[in-house]
Amino acid sequence: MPHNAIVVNLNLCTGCMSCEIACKQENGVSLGQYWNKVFRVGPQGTFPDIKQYWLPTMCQQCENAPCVEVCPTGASYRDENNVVLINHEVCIGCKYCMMACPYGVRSWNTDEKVVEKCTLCPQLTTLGKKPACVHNCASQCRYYGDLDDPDSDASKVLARFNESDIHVLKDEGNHPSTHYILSEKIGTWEMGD
Amino acid sequence: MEYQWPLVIFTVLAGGAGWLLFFTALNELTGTITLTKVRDTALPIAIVMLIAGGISSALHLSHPERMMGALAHPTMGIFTEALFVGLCVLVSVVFMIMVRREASTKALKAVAVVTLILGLVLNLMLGYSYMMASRPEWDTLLLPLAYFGTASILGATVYQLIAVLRKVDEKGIAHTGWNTMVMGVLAGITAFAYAIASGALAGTETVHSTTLRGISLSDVAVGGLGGSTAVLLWVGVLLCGAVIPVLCGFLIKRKPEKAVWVAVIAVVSALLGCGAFRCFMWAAGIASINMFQML
Amino acid sequence: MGTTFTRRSFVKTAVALGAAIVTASGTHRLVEADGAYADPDTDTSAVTIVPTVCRACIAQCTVLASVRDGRVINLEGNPEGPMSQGAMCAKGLSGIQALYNPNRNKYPMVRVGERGGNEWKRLSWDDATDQIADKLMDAYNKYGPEAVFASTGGGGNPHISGPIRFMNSFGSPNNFEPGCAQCYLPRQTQARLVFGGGKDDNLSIADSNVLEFYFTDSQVQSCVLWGAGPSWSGPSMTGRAMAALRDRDQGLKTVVIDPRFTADASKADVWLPLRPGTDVALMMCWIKYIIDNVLYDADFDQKWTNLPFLVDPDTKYCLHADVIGGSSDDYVVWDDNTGSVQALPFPYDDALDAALFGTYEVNGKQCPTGYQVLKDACDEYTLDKAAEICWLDADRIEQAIHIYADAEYSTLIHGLATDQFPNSAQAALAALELECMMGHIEKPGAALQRFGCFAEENGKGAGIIPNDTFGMGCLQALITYDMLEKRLGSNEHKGFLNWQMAHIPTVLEAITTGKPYKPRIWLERSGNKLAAVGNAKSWYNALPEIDLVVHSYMYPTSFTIEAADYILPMREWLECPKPVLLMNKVFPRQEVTHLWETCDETLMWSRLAAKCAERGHDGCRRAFIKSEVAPGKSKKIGNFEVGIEDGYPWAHSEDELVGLFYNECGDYNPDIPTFDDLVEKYAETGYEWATIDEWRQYGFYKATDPSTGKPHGFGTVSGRVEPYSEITTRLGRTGFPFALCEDGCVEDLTPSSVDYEPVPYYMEPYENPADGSDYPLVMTEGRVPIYHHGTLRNVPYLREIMPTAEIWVNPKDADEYGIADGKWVKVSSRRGETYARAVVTSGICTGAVYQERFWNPELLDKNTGKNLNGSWMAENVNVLTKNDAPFSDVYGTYTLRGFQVKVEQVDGNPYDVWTEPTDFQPWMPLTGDDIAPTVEEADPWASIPSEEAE
Ligand SMILES: Nc1nc2c(c(=O)[nH]1)N[C@H]1C(S)=C(S)[C@@H](COP(=O)(O)OP(=O)(O)OC[C@H]3O[C@@H](n4cnc5c(=O)[nH]c(N)nc54)[C@H](O)[C@@H]3O)O[C@H]1N2
Ligand SMILES: Nc1nc2c(c(=O)[nH]1)N[C@H]1C(S)=C(S)[C@@H](COP(=O)(O)OP(=O)(O)OC[C@H]3O[C@@H](n4cnc5c(=O)[nH]c(N)nc54)[C@H](O)[C@@H]3O)O[C@H]1N2
Ligand code: SF4
Ligand code: SF4
Ligand code: SF4
Ligand code: SF4
Ligand code: SF4
Ligand SMILES: [Mo]
Repeated sequence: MPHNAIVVNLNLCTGCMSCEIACKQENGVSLGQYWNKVFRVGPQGTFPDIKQYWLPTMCQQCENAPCVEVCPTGASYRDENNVVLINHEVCIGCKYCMMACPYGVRSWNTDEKVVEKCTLCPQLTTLGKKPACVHNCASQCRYYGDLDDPDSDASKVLARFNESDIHVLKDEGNHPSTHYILSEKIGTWEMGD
Repeated sequence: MEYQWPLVIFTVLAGGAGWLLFFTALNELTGTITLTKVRDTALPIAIVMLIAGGISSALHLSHPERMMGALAHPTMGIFTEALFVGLCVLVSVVFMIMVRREASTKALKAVAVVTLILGLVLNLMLGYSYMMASRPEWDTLLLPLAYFGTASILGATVYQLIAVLRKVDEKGIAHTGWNTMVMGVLAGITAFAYAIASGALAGTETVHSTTLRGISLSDVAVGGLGGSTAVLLWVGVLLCGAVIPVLCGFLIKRKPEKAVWVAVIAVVSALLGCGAFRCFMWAAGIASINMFQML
Repeated sequence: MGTTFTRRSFVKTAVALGAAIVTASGTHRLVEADGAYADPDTDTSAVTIVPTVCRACIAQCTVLASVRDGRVINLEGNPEGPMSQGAMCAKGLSGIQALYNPNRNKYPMVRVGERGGNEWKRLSWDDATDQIADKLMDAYNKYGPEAVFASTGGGGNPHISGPIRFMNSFGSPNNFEPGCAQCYLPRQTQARLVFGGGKDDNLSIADSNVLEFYFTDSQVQSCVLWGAGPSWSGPSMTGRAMAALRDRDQGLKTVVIDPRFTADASKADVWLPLRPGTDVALMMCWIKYIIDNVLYDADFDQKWTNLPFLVDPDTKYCLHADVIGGSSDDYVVWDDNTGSVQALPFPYDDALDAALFGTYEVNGKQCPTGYQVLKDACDEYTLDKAAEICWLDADRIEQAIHIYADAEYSTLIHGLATDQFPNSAQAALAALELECMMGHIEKPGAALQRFGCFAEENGKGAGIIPNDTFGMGCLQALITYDMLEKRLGSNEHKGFLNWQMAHIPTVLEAITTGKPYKPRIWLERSGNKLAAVGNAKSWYNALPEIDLVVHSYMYPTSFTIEAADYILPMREWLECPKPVLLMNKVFPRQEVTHLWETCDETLMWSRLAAKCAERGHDGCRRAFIKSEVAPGKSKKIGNFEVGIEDGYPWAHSEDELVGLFYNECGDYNPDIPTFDDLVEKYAETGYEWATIDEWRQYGFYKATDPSTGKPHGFGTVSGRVEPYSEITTRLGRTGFPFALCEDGCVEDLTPSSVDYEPVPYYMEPYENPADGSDYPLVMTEGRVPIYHHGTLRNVPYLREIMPTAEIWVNPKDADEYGIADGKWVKVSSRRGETYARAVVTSGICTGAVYQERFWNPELLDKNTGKNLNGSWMAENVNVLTKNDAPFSDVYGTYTLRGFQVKVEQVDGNPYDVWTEPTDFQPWMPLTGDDIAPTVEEADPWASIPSEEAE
């Protein structure tokens, strides 16, 4: 099974918000709801010796996804391509998955009254295209691909960096797949390791 | 996180009902004869509380019509909670029927054992569903324990009120007063232990403020001891949920004849305290990294 | 599951598509949008991909638009674009929400009732333009052409030259743009004077220049971003290019000089958060340091700059060899080999060793070299002095200079910041001087290049886009000498001549005082002037003095409501056809769709010109005739090409319009595709008019010019780069080389009242924190990545991200003035007050605050607007800025940055502006029946002759 994920090189990310709009546009995400959101982290240090980086966030495609574990209906599920998704038809809106997600990256769709989140854009990737946020990223610093395939864009960019520059959001045993590249020169990783 | 009222109500009612069943069953087993007539009122009340709680929890769902889907997908959490609520209702009904049909003492004791266990397990389950790694303030066994403890005082005071209303003899009423005092202490200790050990009182720091968003994420982190969560804890959980009921229990034990108003106050106070603890939990339950702030 | 998915079907398999339209205004949940990825069951019509080019900012990223049933349903970057390479930013991606915005101007309108009352009546285009033309001609006959003036926008608009062309046809000299003297005019003009390249060959990366930076194989090792924020002022173009350079193994060593910790600063090696408005002091310190430590490129300076030329201290002009009996074409240097004054022929005489510094006697007069004059001018700016003026640390300045000067391949990128205070000319000059001194000229890694010249010399590219966006010179053949003299403020500040623009404060003064004459009719075609000009209130107060205001725009703004009598609806970029030049390729921006009765702005000007011609206006009649406007009178003075360019006449139709921008104008070249071909065959890949290798070549100046057998040199009078800018002085005294009119380039305009200096000098910002005033903080501005100027404040997805103006305050200042993060504050200057929400961050230097432009369309809405004025007063930094003297001597620049303010925390949301994401729901795109596709009308002015009558 593939292990598809997004990798973001924060050394290059400029916090331009393009990925946020690309995602909303592609997926028709309503106002006040997010599948992808960019945060400023910092400044770290004291003026004028400061560092700052931006952290684009979306579903981290956990290997042990707590959202799937707690979902009482199976609406949150892992599909045959190993992607954690939500079946809107089955979701009863209990929000347990939202509580269980360690990163708060699930979104409540007030129109349909179901939970939704980043899908990794299968409607594009199954056609061989990149997810909207990856394709349009202004700094071209988002990568998508199979982490187990050394030839994927995602694996190739990770291979260029030292372990110490590669991070994941605080792992509570859920093993997030999204990887972030951040070198000490640009910023100090603050989101757990 | 915002208070989830339907779930607050559900866990209060179901928890209280579970304890009510516990006390009823316990009396069946230990045989304080004078309290037997309490049983006849307590069982239907427990059933009503369980059903009302169940309905309330369904109100929390945006698509209750799809709820049957949950049955097809057994997991820990909601499914088991629902299961135990159902089992408690079932056993209470059976208990009632057996009482009506004047079943043998042995049979009644047997059903009482089942009822007692179900009442306790339901109470543990109710809090256990919230233990999740994503919310560090919830991810401690002290949480189900505190759910257990804070519901116990509700069960005890309701049981006590029924005893008073059914004009049970002084000894019996004094006995329920004892229950109340013990459970009040249990509620206070478990709630306080949770509040301290979970770090909920310390407040949580989230990500930094964001340039292009005009809001500061750190603004929404819970306040420390001085914040509104602390008020909830001191006034709601500890004063209403423990101190006042214990005092009531004490008064009732001393003067069982003048117990009605005191018993009512004890129930109301315990109800508030039990609810307050659940609210406290919701307020404290900030995800370790809550990016979208959707909950 | 199959291999194709409805865009959301993957996650909600069984929902009928119709159910996706949950809220009528929830745009993207429309049936159309959902079908973007063909769903075999429900999809009835196919999706077409229309390649086009974005113009939501002044960059131009290539785009693939998905269209179904005429509706644009999705946008994404087109990877074929050589500059954006498939990236697309938040502003561009918002094109759909801008296009289908419920508030679009849909039909021409005339105001009924009072100005400011916001009551309008629909008119036909014909009626509207007839009525306007009648009024224009009345004023023309009664008061003369100067009674009319125009203004335009500083970017985003497809054809910035439209109003200039109209004014030139109409015979009025006055047209302005709120950028101009405050944006790019100083840097662009000064580069033409010093470097002598083409219009786009300068140090400004945000204006789609610095093309060397688009190549990851560039040898560039380090760069200085001086008051420039490329990552936010062109995210998917300049920002993408910067990211790609940083991503190389060698990275890109960077110095950022900016009071604000920008995205670029966060990636830099040294950040110099200087006091706003003090750049020239720092630049002069760099010049001094580089001279004192001999870090300059002596060989280049000697052979290819005018720095060794001896200067007559009385005239400030360089000496020509006729003073020592030689040719007046040659200059004069001190030769260290012979210890004597010698003539220097072009390009150089290898027998000479021209002295760079020193003062030497020529005919009994002490004549310094240009370098010596520069050195003397900078002498007081030691590291310590600069550190004190600029609030910096001397060691850090030194470290920064070394990053710049020690690398073999380095360059300086000069941003907008210094164009916004009166020292603008000197900053523009000093930055160019640094690059010249370092020899960063047409060499690998350098910003200053003339790519394309080799290809053009080989006959490639002729006929391609003779007038691009910054083609400021057009219809110059219709300008009279009188108009040059009468243009408001441009005689005093002759830099304006380069763009044929007027000085905004002088126009305002003329309106309010009637001196030297009274402008009465205002044709404005851009967004919200009240949000873009300095000291907005001074313009608001002048509105009653103006008899007629016509506003041409895509949606109503504060300006429309407060000022306009007529509204002419304009097209969005997704509706405008135009060829776009991107390096060695041309791409068509296409008319992806076209809605209501919106008009291409160039056609609108044609239409007005035709109506005036019909009413007997001779200039407007001549403007339709090619031979009248394309006389091609140009000549070379030295290597500087002066004179009027071939103009292109007004278009009679849309087809003609795109042709005029392309090929059919100037020298028609049958080898390049027509616009239709471009659309049909090259829309996605672009038409390559030269290969990338032919196009990207260094060192054009050194290559031999086949016509002379000598090196090309530079397009300056001396053929060298001219960091000693004697031509700037000459400009002020004569108008040369920019005083262009029907007579060609004239040299006898009234001299400016002050002499323009050939070397820089430092001016302390006019409002100075050292004066211990009530306004203790220094305000500055700069771009955010999600808005372009005043645009897009009506786009829900963008306002959701940044709903209100923000002011950055350093924690130290926040402490001192009692300001908390996220709270509303009142910001006041000596001119007014406005509001913003505070972001407390050490990303702004202590003592300074930062706020970007903002206005609030929601306060115009009749139902919600309690206070219409609030739309431009609530959160508008331009209520605070300053538009009176001092001005830049050369360019007339006023003070938009580096002035003083006071910041106080207040309660609540003072104007009740929208702050919550769902507040913006009413602006979600229109759907279905609310959108009317344009019914193409016959071009009503086809009868205007395009040939001279026999
Ligand atoms: N305080 C302060 N003030 C500033 C600046 C600053 O930094 N600080 N920056 C200055 C600078 S650099 C500039 S360039 C100016 C810009 O200020 P303006 O030029 O007034 O800004 P806009 O009106 O937003 O820009 C031009 C408009 O043209 C619109 N447009 C696009 N296509 C068409 C079309 O076909 N027809 C018509 N009619 N319009 C079209 C764009 O949407 C855009 O709104 O602001 C200046 N003002
Ligand atoms: N997103 C977006 N992109 C744009 C535009 C837009 O409005 N929005 N406008 C377009 C236009 S017309 C232009 S002119 C360009 C401008 O693009 P840039 O040249 O990048 O201009 P700014 O970002 O306005 O200013 C550059 C930097 O100068 C800093 N600064 C402020 N005061 C000073 C000072 O006194 N000294 C120094 N050294 N730095 C200072 C600001 O903090 C800012 O980061 O952007 C273009 N691109
Ligand atoms: S990040 Fe959250 S939503 Fe995504 S897989 Fe992990 S737990 Fe589930
Ligand atoms: S809200 Fe929906 S997806 Fe989430 S746990 Fe409940 S049923 Fe599952
Ligand atoms: S992969 Fe698709 S759904 Fe996920 S953040 Fe990117 S654009 Fe959004
Ligand atoms: S689009 Fe790319 S550069 Fe911009 S914020 Fe997103 S990840 Fe960062
Ligand atoms: S930078 Fe953004 S707004 Fe500007 S042209 Fe490119 S995509 Fe459009
Ligand atoms: Mo500009």
